[in-house]
Amino acid sequence: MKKENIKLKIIRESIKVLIFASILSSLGGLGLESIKDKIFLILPIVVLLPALNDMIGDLGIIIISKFTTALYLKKFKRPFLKSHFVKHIINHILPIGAMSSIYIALLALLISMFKGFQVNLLIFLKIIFISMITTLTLISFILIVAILGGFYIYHKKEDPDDVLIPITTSIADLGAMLMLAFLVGILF
Amino acid sequence: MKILGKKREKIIDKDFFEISVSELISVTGGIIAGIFLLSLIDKLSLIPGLLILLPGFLEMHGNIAGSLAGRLSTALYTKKIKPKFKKSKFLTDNILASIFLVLVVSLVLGLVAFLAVYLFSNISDIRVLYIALFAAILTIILEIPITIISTFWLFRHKYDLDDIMGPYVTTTGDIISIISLFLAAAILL
Repeated sequence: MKKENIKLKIIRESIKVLIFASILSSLGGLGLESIKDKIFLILPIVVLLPALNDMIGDLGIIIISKFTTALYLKKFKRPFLKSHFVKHIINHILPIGAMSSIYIALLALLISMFKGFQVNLLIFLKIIFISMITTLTLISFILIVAILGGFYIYHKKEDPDDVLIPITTSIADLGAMLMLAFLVGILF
Repeated sequence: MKILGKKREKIIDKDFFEISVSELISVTGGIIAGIFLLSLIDKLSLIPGLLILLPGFLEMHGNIAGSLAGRLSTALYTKKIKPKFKKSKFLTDNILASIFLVLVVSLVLGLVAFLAVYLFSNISDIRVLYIALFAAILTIILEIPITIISTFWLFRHKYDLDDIMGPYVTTTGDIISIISLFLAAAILL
C-alpha cells in the first residue's frame, strides 16, 4: 500500500503549484502575444527571451536559498543593511546579474546579425538597456519578496525555500515577459 | 583569489566564481534555446495562442524535471536507490507521476491558450491544444530519460547534484521544449 502511494503523493503535492505557476507564466505569454508583431521584427528579443527567463529564475533561487540559510543560521543580528546577506547581494548577485544580462544581450545581437537582422548603435543600446533593466528590476523585486516573505514564512515555522522558490520562478517568468512587453512597446 | 577594493573584501571569491560559471553555462544554453525559438517564428505567427503557450510550457518542464531530479538526488544520497537505470518501484512511480503531470499541465496550458485567443481575438483555433499535447509527448520521450541518465551519471562522477541539476535541468528543458513545440507545430500544420 505504502509503495503504491509514492506516485499519488508526488501528483497530489505537485499538481496545484504546477498548474498555478504555468497559468501565471501564460499571463506573461499574453503580454508577449499583445506585441507579437513587434517582437517578431526584433530578432534579438526572441533569442534573448529564454536566457533572460532562466537567468532571473536562477539568481532568484540563489537569493531565496541564501536568505533562508541566513535565517536558519540566525545571521541577521547586526543591522540588516550591514549583514552578510546584503553584502552578498551587492557584491555577487547584482554584478553577476548585470554582467550576464550584457553577455546574453551581446550574444543575442550577434546571432541576430548572422540571421540578417540590421543592428545600428541605437538598437544595440536599446537591447542592452532592455536586458539590464529587466534583470536588475526583477532581481530587486525578488529581493523584496525574499525578505518580506522569508521573515513571514519563517515566523510561521514553515520552510521559506518550499514556498518562495516556486513563487520566485513564476515571478521571474511573468515579470520578464511583462517587462519585455512593456519596454519593447515603449522603445520600438 | 584576486582581491579587489578594500583589503579584506574579496569580491571575486569562491562564491562569485561558482555562481558566475553556472550562470554562464545556463544562459548560454538559454541562448541556444533562443536560436531554436527563432526557427519557430513562422509557426508562432501562423498559430494563434502559441506565444501564450510558450512561457508556461517552458516553466512546466523546468519544474517537473527539476523536481524529478531533486527526488532522485535525495534518494541517491540517502542510498534509497542505486545510480543504475534498472526497474524499481521508486523509479517507475517517479517516471509515471512525471508523465502524468506533464500531460495534465500541458492540457491545462493548451486550454488556457485556446480560451485566451477565443476571448481576446474571437478566433477558435483548436490546433494550439493539439500542439501542447503532442509537444508534451515528445518532451516526455526526450526529457525524462535525459534527466534520469544525467542525474545518475553526475552522481557516479561525484558531482554535487544540488548545485548542478537546477540550472542544468532548466536549460536542457528549455531547449527540448522549444524543439518539441517546433516539431509538433511542423507535423500538425
